[in-house]
Amino acid sequence: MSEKLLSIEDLSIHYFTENREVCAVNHVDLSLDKGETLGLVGETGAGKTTIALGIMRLVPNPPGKILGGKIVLEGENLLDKKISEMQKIRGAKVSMIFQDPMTALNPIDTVGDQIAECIRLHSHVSRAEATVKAAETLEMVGIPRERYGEYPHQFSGGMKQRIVIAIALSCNPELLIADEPTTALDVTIQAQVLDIMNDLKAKLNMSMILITHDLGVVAEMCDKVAIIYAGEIVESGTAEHIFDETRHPYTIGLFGSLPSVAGKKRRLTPVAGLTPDPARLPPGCKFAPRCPYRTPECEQEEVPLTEFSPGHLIRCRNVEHVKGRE
Amino acid sequence: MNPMASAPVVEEEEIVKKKSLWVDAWSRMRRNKLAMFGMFLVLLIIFLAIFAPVIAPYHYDEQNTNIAFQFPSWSHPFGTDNYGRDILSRVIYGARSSLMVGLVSVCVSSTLGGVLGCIAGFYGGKVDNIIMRCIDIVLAIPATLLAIAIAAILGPGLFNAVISIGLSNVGRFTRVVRGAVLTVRGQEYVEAARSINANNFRIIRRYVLPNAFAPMLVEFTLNISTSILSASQLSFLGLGVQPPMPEWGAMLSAGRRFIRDYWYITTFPGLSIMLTVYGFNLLGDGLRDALDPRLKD
Amino acid sequence: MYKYILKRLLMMIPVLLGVTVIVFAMLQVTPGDPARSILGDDATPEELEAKREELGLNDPVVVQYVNYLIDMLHGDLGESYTSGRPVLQEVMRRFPTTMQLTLVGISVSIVLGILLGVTSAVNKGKLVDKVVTVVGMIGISMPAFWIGLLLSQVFALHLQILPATGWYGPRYWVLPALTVGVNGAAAIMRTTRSSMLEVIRQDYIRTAEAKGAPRKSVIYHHALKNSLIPVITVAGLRVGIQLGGAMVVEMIFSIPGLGSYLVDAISFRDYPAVMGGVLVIAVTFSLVNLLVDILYAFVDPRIRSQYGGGKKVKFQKKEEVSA
Repeated sequence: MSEKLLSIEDLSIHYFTENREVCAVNHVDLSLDKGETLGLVGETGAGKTTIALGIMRLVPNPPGKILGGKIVLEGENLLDKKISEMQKIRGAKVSMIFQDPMTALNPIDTVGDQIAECIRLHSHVSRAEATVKAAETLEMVGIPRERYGEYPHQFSGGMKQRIVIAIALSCNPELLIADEPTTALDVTIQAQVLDIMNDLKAKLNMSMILITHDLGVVAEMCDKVAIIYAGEIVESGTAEHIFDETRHPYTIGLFGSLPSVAGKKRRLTPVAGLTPDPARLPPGCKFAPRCPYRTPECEQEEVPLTEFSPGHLIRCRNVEHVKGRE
Repeated sequence: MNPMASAPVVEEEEIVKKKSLWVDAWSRMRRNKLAMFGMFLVLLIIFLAIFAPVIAPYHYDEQNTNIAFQFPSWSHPFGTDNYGRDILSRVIYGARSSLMVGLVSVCVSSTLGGVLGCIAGFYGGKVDNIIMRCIDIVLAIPATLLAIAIAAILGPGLFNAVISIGLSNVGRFTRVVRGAVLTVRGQEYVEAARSINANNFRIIRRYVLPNAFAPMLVEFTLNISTSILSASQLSFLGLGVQPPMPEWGAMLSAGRRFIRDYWYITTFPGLSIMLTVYGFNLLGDGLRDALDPRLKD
Repeated sequence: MYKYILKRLLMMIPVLLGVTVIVFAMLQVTPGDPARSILGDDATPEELEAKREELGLNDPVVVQYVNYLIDMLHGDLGESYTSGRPVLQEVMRRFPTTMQLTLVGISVSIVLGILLGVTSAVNKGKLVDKVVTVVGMIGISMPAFWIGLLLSQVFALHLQILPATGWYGPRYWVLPALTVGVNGAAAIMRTTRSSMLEVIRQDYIRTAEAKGAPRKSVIYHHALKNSLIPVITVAGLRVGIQLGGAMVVEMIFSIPGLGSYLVDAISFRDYPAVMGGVLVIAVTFSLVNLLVDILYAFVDPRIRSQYGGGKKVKFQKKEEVSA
């Protein structure tokens, strides 16, 4: 059943500013099968969005630069593609939804035209046909087709995000990258938007990379999860691995920062300290300065990502000593 | 999600050393080569204007028809005009008139516009409405034309040029200052000052003016350049500085007749206007970039 | 939309009334006696007095203003002291030439300015950008009359490929239009550049790229269209500046327009003519400002909806077509 759609190998992306080199993404490996949803979880600035932009080849250059690695989509390395070839892939095979729907739509085009534009870019249809298809796509995300000719400012935030989704899905992409699609929305609207995405994902048989820092969203949507810290994957595996067999100290810390309503009252146990400056990463384990389990070696030597159990990878040299979550 | 925005580990000294806006702006400005070049040009022109009698090789009105229309040479680097006057000396003295008109007329417009803009922006409501409608009317007449019309009525002369250019730019200033004051007025620290019962005058003096100062300064600098341009235009039309006092626009106007054979009579005054205006423009742009908090990151 | 235009036209009335007050006030403080200006120096006191009475100069100022206003509404801007002909007639005869010059000039400014501005913004930090920025800054620093002199010196006197004076056809337009256009082009270029740089940073540009839109479409459709508002503002201001600057340019190139008429009127102290010209230019400029506001609405649907214009019913129309 599992047919590989995307695999990322050893991807590194750095940003070069006047006097700093910001190591946003370092040697990341990821893979995604058809129909799967992968959650990328991490704090703000961990490099999640940069990975996503890397797949789209939209890392702003300058200052960003993809230093090395491979991004293989259906057997083809996207990093070898010419820009014109990438333009045919963007929006057609791989689509992306951005974080803030308030600013993601062109304010001076009608929402319908913005969907139709994507359709016309990727299929040889007449203007009228594109219009009809765009209207259908609008209805698919739950917006009546009568609103085709309205402008973004006439819609609420949740509605705008639906339109962004409609644009992304208008050409039936193989892969949808959703970058914190609900962070900017009200809680009640969040659920609606996630529902729509889940439904359409199933209907269109897409794969999805969901970027979030909300573990609740991950639990609801994802098959696989990768926890990113300071541009590196620190733990990855199936949702069960991450939720039930949490092993990396940072992941445990993430769960500890989560207030729970159902369980017994307990104090939150946030991760101590701050994310390291990505321009001055510590030499050894990036998490070592904040880690309760650190040993002197942790701070000296790089830690490889090792298999803890089949499919469950952890980047920690003291994993045997780490106490899992209750 | 910008990776650059995620650098919470700041060196401690950076936190401790709280730089003021001006020190900060100056350090940014110093790194801006074009702005520094502009400043150099402006200082150079000011220097020339102040020390004209010392620097200029001849008196600006020293006529000698025997050496009229001389091509640039060692003794007359910019050549001589139809009366045999040294063009270099006239250009150096000309800096005086241009700077005078530029600076003083901007003082006129910034004072009037500053007061009107402050009142309109701070009091708002009816006062604001009346002032701004009047400004709309003034702005319906293109500034250059207004300046020329006022100068035509007042008659030619340095002082009248200053007045007409100054008056014609009041509208622009009023708008800028009003906008700045409106922005500042909405800030919480003004609310805070109000809440401790500070009176209006105190609020304007202590809070509004210092904070509206940056946009005013930028407008002031950029306005000097437009004023110098307008002044030279007035002189070109014969409405500005009167002979024998040299003025660049007037020199261009006078040299126009001989342009076919003696290009240098008009070229050097033209270049002088351009460089002066260029200097003030670069300086103004640099100031804006340095003072604009949006570019702080 | 029509309602809005109508409203704006009505709003112009108080502004123009204000302009007439200014113009009238200027006429009032003008030194000299109009009667003497008309009749000349050898008129007898009786003749002067009769002329004053005829011109209504002995009435109170307010009455004079009202009469001035009534006359103006009848298309009477007074008579030129020098030619004795109605000012309005003389002004309107020359106005089309000036308008032509201004339109050609502003077109040069807009086309050059936008092209250079976009090129510069898209290549930010590269050599092209640096060159264009420096040249642009020099462009706004050059007095128009010097540009005019340089152009006529090079192209008319030395190369002799273009005429230096007159206004008889497109060949004659080139140098004056460039003269009035260069400053504007530089100003519009600078605005386009900074506005484009601002817009390029916006999320919707990334959305367009993520859609797979080709670079050209991203730049010209998504970015430029969104950058236009400040560009339109500056272009509108430039029209005003060019109308005001027409005097100098028309004088340099001996163009028989309103500008050179004003220059003559000023040198002969022909005040009714000066004020008539100023008034006509102010009216034109006000109309240009109105046009600018309408263009805003045309470009930006957010502004359009503020005016309470009707929604675009584009889709329904299209469905009819496809059905």
